Amino acid sequence: MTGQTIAFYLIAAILVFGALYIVTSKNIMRAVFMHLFAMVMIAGIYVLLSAEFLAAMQILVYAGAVTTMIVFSLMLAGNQDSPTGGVSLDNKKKLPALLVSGGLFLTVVFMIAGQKWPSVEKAAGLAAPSVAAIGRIIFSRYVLPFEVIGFLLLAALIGVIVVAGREE
Amino acid sequence: MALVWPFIIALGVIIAILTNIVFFMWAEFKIAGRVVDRYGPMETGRFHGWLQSVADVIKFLGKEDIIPANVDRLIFKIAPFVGFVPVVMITMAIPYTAKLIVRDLDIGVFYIVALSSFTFISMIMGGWASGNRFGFLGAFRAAGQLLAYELPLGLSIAGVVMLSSTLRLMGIVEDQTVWNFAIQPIGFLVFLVAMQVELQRSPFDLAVAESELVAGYAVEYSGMRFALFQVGEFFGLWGLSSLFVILFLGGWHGPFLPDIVWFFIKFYAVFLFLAFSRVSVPRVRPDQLMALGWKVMLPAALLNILITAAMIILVPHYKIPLALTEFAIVIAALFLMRRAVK
Amino acid sequence: MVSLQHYLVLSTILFAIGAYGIMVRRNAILILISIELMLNAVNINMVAFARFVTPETLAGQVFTIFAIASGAAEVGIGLAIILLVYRGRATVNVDEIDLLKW
Repeated sequence: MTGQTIAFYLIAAILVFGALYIVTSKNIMRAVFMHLFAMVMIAGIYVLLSAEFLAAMQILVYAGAVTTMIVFSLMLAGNQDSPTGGVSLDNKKKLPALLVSGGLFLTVVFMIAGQKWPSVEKAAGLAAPSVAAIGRIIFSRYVLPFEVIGFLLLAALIGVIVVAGREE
Repeated sequence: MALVWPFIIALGVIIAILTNIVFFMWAEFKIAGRVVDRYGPMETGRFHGWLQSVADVIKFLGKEDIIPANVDRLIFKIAPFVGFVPVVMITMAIPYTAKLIVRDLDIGVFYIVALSSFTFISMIMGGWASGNRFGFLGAFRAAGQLLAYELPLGLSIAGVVMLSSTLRLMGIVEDQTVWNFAIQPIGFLVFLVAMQVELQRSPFDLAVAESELVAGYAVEYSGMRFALFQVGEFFGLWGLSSLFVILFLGGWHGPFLPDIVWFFIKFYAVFLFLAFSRVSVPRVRPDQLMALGWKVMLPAALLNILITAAMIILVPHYKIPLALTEFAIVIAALFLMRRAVK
Repeated sequence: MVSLQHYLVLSTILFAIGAYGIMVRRNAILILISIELMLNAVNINMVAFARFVTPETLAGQVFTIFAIASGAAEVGIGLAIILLVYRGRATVNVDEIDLLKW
């Protein structure tokens, strides 16, 4: 029972609880903040997987920017009468949705269980990657996707301004 | 012992910050008073009211904990902590001298930038959960302001990171034989302004304008919860000022005195600058602030990165040409501003 | 010891919960949040593979960086479209935005 195992189970339990809360709660404000919380927990999982740069990036992008965007849109487009409640589930679709997602889950888990995966000992002895290594890989092998992502973000920025800008 | 040493340093940092709060708050009151030709606190404590901030803390502790009726109790209670805990984590990641560091993270500066995005999350949570329309509006104004200045903050840090080729804070300090503000004055100025906005200090504190809106997003908070917001703001002041000292003022380097003394001399100098700027300049209007952020600070930070990158790649010994170019741009900008004001 | 299968099962659980959320929720913004949950589940998957299977090339982590960036862009555009729909129809309930149905 190493510290890593305890941390993993704790974070995983909180994460699954948070995800379930998001999809079943009636209070939209709490759902949004549970989403924020889940993103921070996922950053914790990245730290467990020795991906510290990714953990910081996850917090910066999701906890910082995406949650703020969602909260701003809720302010502008949310239910003005009950800003803290007012969302419900579609009860007709609960059972089919449960069957579909449950089936998906069981299929993938059976596929995972039937495979031969690399053993843990091989991975545990390797050194944790450093930020310099990630930088080197991005700018040597994956420099084209990097530039394309820059264009994508620029297009998204312009698109958001054009689509949601004022009509004057 | 090597396993326990980081905990001891962490505890030492927290104790140092908590004792410094008393001194800093008193110093701010005195400076604010003296600048307008009055004395400031004189009563509590024999010598010039130095126990004033202790009295303030006792006042906060003694207040009744009021939670209004139509708030979402869970989020209302969590909001100050969501702002407080990440800021404490920031102060833990900073090297005060070559040996006084809790842990030298591989992603040092990026960790701090990522965690500093939690301040406006806590503002939004507090404002939204308060159920008060004005707190709500204040929270969103503050969040918009902070968001607008996250970018120049991060980009000016990127300029420094390019000079030292490492995200580690100790690496950045060790690399500074010449202090970075002489090499990157544009980044220095951008970070200075962005830091003041991030800390919600005058002249940029319209979200918590003490004399106008009651307290912005914290309008429904009273007693210890409000004090927690304030203490969180102070920890943020400590964290960002230390970061400023490390990135631009050369950390703990200095000729004769021991390292820790130099660090605190520079740190208190930054704090004095912040305290003086608070009382010298009138408060900036929100639209002026956003215009400054998006139209001046962001292009300046991007220009900084462009020039730094160009110099590092094209010129072999890049430090002196870089410094000269950036100083030339700053002086040209100041000159142009004088012409515009006339 | 926490092995690769633990992370894969965790990411599958999150993916299934996200899929359930998309099918069951009516508020457009909550559907967007469920999509984000699915995206993050896939990211956990990729980072786990990068850690256990190919630690030298770190391809999974680099891909995750790009996935996070494009996920954030997608959320931005999605919210902009939701705002536009709200301006036109005064609702974000996806059951009521059905003009294209025959």
